[in-house]
Amino acid sequence: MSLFKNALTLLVGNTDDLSYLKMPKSKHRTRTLSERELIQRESEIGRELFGPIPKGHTREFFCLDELTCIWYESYKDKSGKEITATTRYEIQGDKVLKAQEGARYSYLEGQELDNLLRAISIYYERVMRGVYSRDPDTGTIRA
Amino acid sequence: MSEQPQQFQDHRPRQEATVFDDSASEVQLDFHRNTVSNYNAEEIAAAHLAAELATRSPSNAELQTARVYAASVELRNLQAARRFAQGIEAPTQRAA
Repeated sequence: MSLFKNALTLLVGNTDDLSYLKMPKSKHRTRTLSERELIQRESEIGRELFGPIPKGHTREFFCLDELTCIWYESYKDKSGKEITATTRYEIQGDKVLKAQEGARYSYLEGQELDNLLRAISIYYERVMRGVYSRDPDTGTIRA
Repeated sequence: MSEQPQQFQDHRPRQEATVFDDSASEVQLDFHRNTVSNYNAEEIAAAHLAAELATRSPSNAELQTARVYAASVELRNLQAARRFAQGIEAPTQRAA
């Protein structure tokens, strides 16, 4: 340190106060987000893909894992009773299984399948750009 | 001996080269590895199918199959990006 101080004295003169050499602490420390937090961010994008959300409704849409997408919607009916609906879309080979509460299962067809696949594609593009800052076509990190 | 699954890189369908940029930086290549190391026979079949369909007029059923496959690849890539963002998957780690 004394060698450094001597060198610094030659360069700048007074070396009594070296506090200005200290790096300021960042006020915005980056941290790794949890999977839950990342999914919440994804869902902020996903919930907007299907048009305006009716007043009083809560909607979430996100891809849970490599094969599963979740649609969740809740609202209160006229009597004030909370109505919730969760739909799970599961890719099975070249088909998409739709699973709803009450053990209702069906494979998507026609327009419904088309809509979901389009939604997944838009979700992918927007989430890759908006949440992960990646180019959806190449997977590369965007500057 | 490298842990990387060489068989995918050796047999990767041609159109995959347009999806992933091999000239990217190290981090980008890491993502590339994360992604392609997860590929299995289904994704490779999907890529072959897409290439085949591009050469002729496919039926609606074939188009549907290709689109579902494409969606599954997108979800897989998303999952890789999510794992990478969490730092739980080392860049060069081979997927289980």
